[in-house]
Amino acid sequence: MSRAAVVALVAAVTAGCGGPGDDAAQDVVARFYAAVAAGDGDSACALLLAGAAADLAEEEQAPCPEALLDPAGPGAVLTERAGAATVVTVRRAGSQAQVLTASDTVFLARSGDTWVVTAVGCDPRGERPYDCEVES
Amino acid sequence: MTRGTDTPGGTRAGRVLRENSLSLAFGVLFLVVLAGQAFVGAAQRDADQVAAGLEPLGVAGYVTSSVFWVDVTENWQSEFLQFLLFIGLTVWFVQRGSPESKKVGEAGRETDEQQHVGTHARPDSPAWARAGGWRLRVYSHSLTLVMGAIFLGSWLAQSAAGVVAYNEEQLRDLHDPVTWTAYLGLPDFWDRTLQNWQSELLAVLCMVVFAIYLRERGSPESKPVGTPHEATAVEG
Repeated sequence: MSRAAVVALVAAVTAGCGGPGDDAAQDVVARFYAAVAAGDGDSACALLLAGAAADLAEEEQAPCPEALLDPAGPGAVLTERAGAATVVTVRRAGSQAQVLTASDTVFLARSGDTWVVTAVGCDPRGERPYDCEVES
Repeated sequence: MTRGTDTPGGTRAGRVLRENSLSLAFGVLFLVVLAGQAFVGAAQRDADQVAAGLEPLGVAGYVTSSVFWVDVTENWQSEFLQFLLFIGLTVWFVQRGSPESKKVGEAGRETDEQQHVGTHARPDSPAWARAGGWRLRVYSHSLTLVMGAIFLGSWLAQSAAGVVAYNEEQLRDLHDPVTWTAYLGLPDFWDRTLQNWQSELLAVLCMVVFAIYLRERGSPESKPVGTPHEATAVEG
């Protein structure tokens, strides 16, 4: 194995490996909040993990695109946070990522060559997991 | 590929194979088992991905993942620690009747004459054993130095891959990730470390003690079958 290959392998392992990177995760979050701001529930739901979209639809008793933007449901928080969705930090670990915007914390998972949103509209709860408006 | 040159004992390639069969056998087994670990680990990870509604990441995605490397390096570090301790402790500690031990009363570094160094070096002794000075001091501990360096390097790699693998779980469970320094104080790091150390120490203990009473005919790791249990430092 060449020295360059060894260096690349070590860098990949310590950084959390190959596949889509920080920019791709950041882009998914930007597109998600752009869709929410535009009232485009279909596009926003297409970026969600299928399980998260299904859980939301079941919980809200409405199709995902409607449930996501419902002002009486998660739509209130998500629409407000879409106004300050500038990405501040991307933390990536292997096949999982956490994107911090100016107003939200978004969790993503790698699926093939892209990222999908697994939880959004999240608030910290100390030692307990984040409390999220949408999660699977 | 060039053909081996014929010699009275067979081809050169055949001789190399015979004279190095132990190293070659372990080398091949290592690569086969490592590849097996990669494939079954990738299968498990992809099954988890699919169960979570995600697309699989494949073998290439798995062998470059921290999950794979933390599993690999946590075992490497403990194996090299095992041999490091075995080499180092058998200088000073003995076990009557064990072929893995020196004779009782012979513990210690031994004399230059016994070690064939300095003025007692033989014409065919390694150059640094004949050299004296710092070269002799380094060469006198070269085995533990290299094993120790690989142990520390593997342990460091375990921590680097481990923090990423740990943070992957943290993020999956909607928790914040931790830093490398914080990870070094977490139970996950020490659980991975200590569970491997205890098993290696048990294996060495068993090897030292079992070899007093049990035999494997023809193995240099065993006393000859008919050798008495009390005989120490006798290998087959």
